[in-house]
Amino acid sequence: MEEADETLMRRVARGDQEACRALVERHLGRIVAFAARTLGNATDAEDVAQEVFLRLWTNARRWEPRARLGTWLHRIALNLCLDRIARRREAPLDAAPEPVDPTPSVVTLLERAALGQRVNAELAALPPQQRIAIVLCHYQGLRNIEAAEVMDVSIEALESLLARGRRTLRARLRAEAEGAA
Amino acid sequence: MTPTRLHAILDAYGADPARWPAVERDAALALLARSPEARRHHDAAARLDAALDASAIDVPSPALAARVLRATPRARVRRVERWVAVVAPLAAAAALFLWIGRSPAPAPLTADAIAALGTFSTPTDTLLFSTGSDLVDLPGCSEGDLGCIDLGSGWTDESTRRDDGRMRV
Repeated sequence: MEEADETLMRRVARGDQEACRALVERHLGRIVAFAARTLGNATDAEDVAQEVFLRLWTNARRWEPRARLGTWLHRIALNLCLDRIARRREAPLDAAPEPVDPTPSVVTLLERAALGQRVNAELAALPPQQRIAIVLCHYQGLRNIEAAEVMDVSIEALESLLARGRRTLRARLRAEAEGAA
Repeated sequence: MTPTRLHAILDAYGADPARWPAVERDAALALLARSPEARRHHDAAARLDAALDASAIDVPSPALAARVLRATPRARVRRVERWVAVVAPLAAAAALFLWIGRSPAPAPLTADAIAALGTFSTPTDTLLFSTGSDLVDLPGCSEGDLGCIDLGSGWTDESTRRDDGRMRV
């Protein structure tokens, strides 16, 4: 039976390397994926994930299981991602993601991999809060109450962000969505 | 569960009931089963879900996991211990080397310095004898019930033995 995160955290606080390894195997990939979709950049995502786990090790002795560890990790990752997004806004425009050409005739010819790339680009083009809500609920599989907690918003606000984000994506990806079904 | 609420759920969470709010899931499924309009809405949400699922993210590199594990508290302590084990002896050796290098060299023993020491005409034995010091117990001689061990004249000069069983050296 898989050991609970809370048990592993108690072992981590005692310096148990095997517990650290178990938590890395369980959560690192998910945190990297969350940061990658939120930031649209794999290198930045790995930097964020590394920082998240450094904070986990540093705070292991003080950590209390008020929330699920996965939720806490997403919260830390989100704060780090938002810092980077804020810094990008201060950066020159040429550092921003490339705008996506929405021409349906081209899009319908794309294979699934290309569709994935386009979805990633469209996600990156969404307002950050809408993108984060979709990433947390659709890709990370967090329950609505957990996603709302990570984002520090109400469930109603979360649903509004999700609906607006998905509506925008549907409009931009209409042809791809019909082709992938 | 109203059709409006079901549409709102589909718009927000998509077509997979696993993503729907747990408390509304059963009612939403029941409405979906009996409403053709809700199923059309559900199908549209499923198409968007399928497009979103085309997005793939690379698996994190093994190097990242290694970096993360190198930062665990115990791993950091081990690295410090290894560093101290290597550096501490080197530092001690360097400190000793510097201390020796900074110590003043002894002045050369010149002929004048030797002359300044003068000449000692009195034997050292005589100097010690005159002070009456440097008395040591003879083994066993102060213990009346154990008797006195005869060490023989070859061991010490009998003239140095005193009545109290002590001996001058």
